[in-house]
Amino acid sequence: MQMLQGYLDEQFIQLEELQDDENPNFVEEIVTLFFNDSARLLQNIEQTLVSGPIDFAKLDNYMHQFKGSSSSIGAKRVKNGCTRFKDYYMAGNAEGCIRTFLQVKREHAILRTKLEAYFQLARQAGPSVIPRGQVR
Amino acid sequence: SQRPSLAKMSRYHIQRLGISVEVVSDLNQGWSKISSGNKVVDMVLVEQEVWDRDTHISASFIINLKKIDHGIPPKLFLLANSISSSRTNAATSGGFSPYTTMKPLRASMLAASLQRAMGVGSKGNLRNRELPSLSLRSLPRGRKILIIDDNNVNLKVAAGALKKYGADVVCAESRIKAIEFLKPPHRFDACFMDIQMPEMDGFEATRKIRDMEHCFNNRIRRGEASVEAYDNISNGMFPFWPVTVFG
Repeated sequence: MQMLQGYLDEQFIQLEELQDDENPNFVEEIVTLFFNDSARLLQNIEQTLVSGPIDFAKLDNYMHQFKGSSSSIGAKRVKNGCTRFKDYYMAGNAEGCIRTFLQVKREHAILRTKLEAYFQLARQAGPSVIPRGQVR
Repeated sequence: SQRPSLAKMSRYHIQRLGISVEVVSDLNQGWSKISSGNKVVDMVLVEQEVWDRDTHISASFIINLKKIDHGIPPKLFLLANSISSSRTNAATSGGFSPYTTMKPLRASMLAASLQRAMGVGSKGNLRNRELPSLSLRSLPRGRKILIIDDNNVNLKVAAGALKKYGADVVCAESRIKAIEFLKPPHRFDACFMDIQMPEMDGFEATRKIRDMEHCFNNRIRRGEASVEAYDNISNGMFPFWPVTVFG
């Protein structure tokens, strides 16, 4: 799908390959789970950033979770954003932290919108028409 | 091998790799199987005691193997109790050193030994003999596997992947739950565990699992846990096989 190009990597294709008649909605289920979990994590991260001196251990813990699950669904741009964000909080650079965090938040929101549209289209097109190998 | 229980367990582990097995009790019988030509024999595993019993027979066994002119001669492995005992033996086998692998035979060690012996490189580029990759892919089939991750998404993805290959998957969200599942006796073949998790790191958890297995095996050896330890292998008690842990 043209619209997802560059946003997702090989891992997403792997997930599509796990989908079959026994698990017809596997990808959408995982993606839904991801967005529920990650929305919560992003809120937690935001809290640590705005409430007084930054607790870097807590921040690292949330980010580890967030980056891990982004990776699991193949969210390439979100994951890369996390790496940049981590560089800044490891360096203790508060301004850089906030800037890169907002980028991650934005990427996350964009991906959510795109994937919702993607699944909508797939549903309209009917079962087993999720295009394979076109998402790069 | 002359020991039915060892032969049975070895056969179990080798068959897990998709390899067919025949058992004989001495080198002469072994030689007649190889030379009869009914079936191609790719590998011969000989128990150390059988090998040591008669050095004349062992020596002529090796000579005969080298003389095989049709196809590729089978690879020879010795099943030793310890590396030191097998080293003294290699000196007497006249330059044709068999590969040695340790008892008890396990699928993972066997796979590693096979890779060395068959000349499979570290990147898996196979030379004259191809280890059928299908059998390695089918390894999860029917296996009971425990996956441990405190991240829901990762857990679901890993479970999906393993289920696709036919494994019977159980998920656990914490190491504490996992340790409960892995208290012997249990039916898990392997567990996959994230190394970095909040309440306990992966190495500590693995140590705890090994401790539990060790205690249980001691109980078996002292005859205290025979009822719990009985497997469907009916001709005796076996030590509880350590679960394979993937970090």
